[in-house]
Amino acid sequence: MSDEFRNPPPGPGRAQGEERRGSAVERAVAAVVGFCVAHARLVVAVALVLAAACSIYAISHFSLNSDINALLPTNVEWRRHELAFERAFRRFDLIEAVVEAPTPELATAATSDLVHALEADRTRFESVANVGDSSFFQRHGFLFQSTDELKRTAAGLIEGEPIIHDMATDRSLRGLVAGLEDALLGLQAGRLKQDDFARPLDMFSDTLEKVLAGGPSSFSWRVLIEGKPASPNELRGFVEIHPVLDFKSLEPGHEAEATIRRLAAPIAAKYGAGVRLTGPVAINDEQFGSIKENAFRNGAITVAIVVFILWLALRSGRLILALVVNVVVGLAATAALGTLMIGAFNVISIYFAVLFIGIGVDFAIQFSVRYRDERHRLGDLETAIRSAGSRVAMPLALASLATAAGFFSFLPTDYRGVSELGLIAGMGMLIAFLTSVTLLPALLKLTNPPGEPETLGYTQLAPVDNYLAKHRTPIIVGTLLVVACLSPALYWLRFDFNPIDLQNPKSEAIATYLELQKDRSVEADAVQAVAPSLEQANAIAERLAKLPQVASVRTLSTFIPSDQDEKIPIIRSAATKLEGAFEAKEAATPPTDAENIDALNEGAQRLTESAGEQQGPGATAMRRLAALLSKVAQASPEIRDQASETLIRPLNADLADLQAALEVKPLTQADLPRAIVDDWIGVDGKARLSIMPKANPGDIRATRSFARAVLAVEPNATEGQIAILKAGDMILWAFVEAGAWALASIAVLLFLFLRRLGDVMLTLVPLALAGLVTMQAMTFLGMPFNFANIIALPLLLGVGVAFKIYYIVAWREGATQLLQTPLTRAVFYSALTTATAFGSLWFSSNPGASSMGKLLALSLICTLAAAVIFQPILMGKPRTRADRNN
Amino acid sequence: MSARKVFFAAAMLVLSSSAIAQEGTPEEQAACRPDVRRFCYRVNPNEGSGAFLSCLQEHRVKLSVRCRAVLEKHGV
Repeated sequence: MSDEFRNPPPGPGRAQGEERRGSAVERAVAAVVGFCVAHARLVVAVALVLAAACSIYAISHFSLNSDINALLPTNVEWRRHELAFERAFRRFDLIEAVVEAPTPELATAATSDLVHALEADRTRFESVANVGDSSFFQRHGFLFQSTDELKRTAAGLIEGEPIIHDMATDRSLRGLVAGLEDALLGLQAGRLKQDDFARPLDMFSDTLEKVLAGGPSSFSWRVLIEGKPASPNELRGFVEIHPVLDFKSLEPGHEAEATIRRLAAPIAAKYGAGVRLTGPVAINDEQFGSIKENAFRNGAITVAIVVFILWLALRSGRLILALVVNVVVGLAATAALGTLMIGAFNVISIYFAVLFIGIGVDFAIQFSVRYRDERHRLGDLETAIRSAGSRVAMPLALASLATAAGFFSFLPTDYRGVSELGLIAGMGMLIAFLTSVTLLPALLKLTNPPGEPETLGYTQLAPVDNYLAKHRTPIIVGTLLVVACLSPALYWLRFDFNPIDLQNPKSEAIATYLELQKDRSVEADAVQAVAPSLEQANAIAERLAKLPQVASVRTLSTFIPSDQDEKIPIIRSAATKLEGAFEAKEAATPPTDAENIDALNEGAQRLTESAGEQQGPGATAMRRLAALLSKVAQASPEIRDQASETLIRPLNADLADLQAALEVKPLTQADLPRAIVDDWIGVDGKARLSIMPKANPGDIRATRSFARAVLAVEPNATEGQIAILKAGDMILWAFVEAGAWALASIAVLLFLFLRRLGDVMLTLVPLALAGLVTMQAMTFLGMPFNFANIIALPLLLGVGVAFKIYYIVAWREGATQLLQTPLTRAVFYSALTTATAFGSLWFSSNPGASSMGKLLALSLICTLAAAVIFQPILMGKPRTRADRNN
Repeated sequence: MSARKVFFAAAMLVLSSSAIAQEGTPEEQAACRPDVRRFCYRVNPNEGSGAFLSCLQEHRVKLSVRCRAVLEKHGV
């Protein structure tokens, strides 16, 4: 540590004369720099060979584990429950294909076709399941109605028997007209009102208009019968796919997703359907895909801007070259060391590169700017490099140790993703320091940049410096007062726990997920639990269902209809009445085109007659359909074929379902489709429970209450909101823990180097102030912390500490008017490059990355202001030798 | 996914026709329905099955074989 505190020299920033007798650190670094300058070629050659070796090692051993579960610990209780559940049910490595079609019939058919197509490809898909299996629910639909509903349905079926019979035995346009005429007889009998016909007839008219126009057309008998438009859920099918994943790729499910899309394309075209992919695998792939996509664009723009800023700071291509080579070599070494230490990088620790560039460039800029200053002062290249080395030794050593300590603080935390990042980035800081005092001086010597005729400081900032010095006390008191007064606002600083908020809501996987989440019947974010057997699961379900926070609980038993003894006779009695409709001998000979034309004309005439002179929706609909039937009768046979195809194909499917539903037999667990059973009963017979909260996903308070209540009844409940809350708590706690370790270790380090509690405070107070102001600004800008931008904190801590150390060391050496010094130039450009590198994330389409960029830019401004403006004022005039002796 | 509503559910009532002829088995009714639709659609079903029967008899020559068989079976 420097024993030399001298009186302030006359010029800004000039601390002391050239012949300083430095501390042990300074002397050691000066010796190293001297050696490297003397043997520049050797040093650069060794460094390049080492860098090449490191690159080869890193590239050949590089592996990335994109499994986000690898970020979380395995040894905490909630994770053990989650892992146990995952082992039994594997719901993380899932792609959910959501099939949407214009009608329920088309959705069912398209989903079933997709399942068959996917099942054929066993190399890409481990399992494919039609979990919603709508055909199963169609077949057993009667049993799933309540007894009262069923009685009404049966009465309707019996009364509608003539229509069903006529259409079922003659599945043609002629048969449809017969059904229509049967219904018109009901009108005549006064049992139906004219306006009852408005909706059904308009549905036929809409379809026929489309057929006549030659466009895509569809018709749903189910929608006609239900009397209301189909719910989104009815127009959807779900296929749950366990793909073969490749965790060596940034998008592990990419291959599988591409295959699904390829296989789905012809099916989608055939049924006028859409197939969208969501589920954990698709969501993660999409996120990492977007990061990768942005990474290239961002990288190119960022490098260009950073080089431009370096030009402003250094004004020499040779200096920039030296600096870039220095950072690249350091990065290669860090990558190799990281690969060696942790094996595979995870999706957070891969950010070490960004951290390394940010802070590594800072160290190099500090050295280079100091070199330029010395070169201007001393003239000779070699002397200038040596002198710069001895001058930056202390601040760089301290800054690298402090930033490394900051990063290492994440090592003891449970959040593996960040603790690995801490390890690599911490080592990186030490490497960055090493290259900055060995390779960089050698490179400077070899590149031999031109002399520096101009001074480097910002002399134009002198009035500001003077003003700040003059009003020191009011500025300090005012700042502290304002910050203290605003601090209560931190109460409203939010932490956004919802990981979905970090992703682009317009992207396919997320948009689909959000849509499904809104539809409560899909249970997209239900909490899950597992019981040793279905009986036990049902017992737990019963207890859970009593909780006021719980909306519903499902187990496999939910799929076995209740009161079957009562329902089956009702269905059988209706079945007897409808028997004839499905008898093969009743089937009519298919009509010729001419017979169809006759029937259509007859239908048109009956409709016109029924409409009479009446006004009103029913009569209007009758006249509209009459006109269309005539048009179809006059149109080409192809149009009639198309009309028949559009109307009869879904009719066939629905009649088959009806026929199957009428052949009712008691439904037991053994009759449930495999896909549904596998979805609810895992390996070893473990049974799954799905628990839906009453709370909306965004309501944190209600969600916490729900989670607490469920966990009290069923401690192994996991996934859904419980997993999000638990992971959120763990991550927050990891950062609090790491923050405490970082502050403590940095304080100890500073004390060891500075040996004065006052100086430690002069460093930490501006740091804490920068942190506070950043968070206050976040509160007022309505920016919450989230899982992405919180990763920015270690970097800010590192950069913030480094800046403050530069100033405190300069001040202790007796520097004054700090705003005008080359140090401020170095710090300013260093902050600018870091802000550019990270600020570019702000413009990312990924909200997580964007929020990280925003927070980084904001906090860099705060930390820069705290170091450049506030800290010098706080420190005041440098101590004199007399002060120190006292 | 909730169990979907069943095809031909309660709303079938909307389109339910009246019983065309209250007598006879569903098969017998079905056998004559095309003829009823063709020749007797103006008959008011509220007048009872007798009204349909006399209408069918009126058009006896034009009736389908199946419907004529039903009528004969019932001695009409």
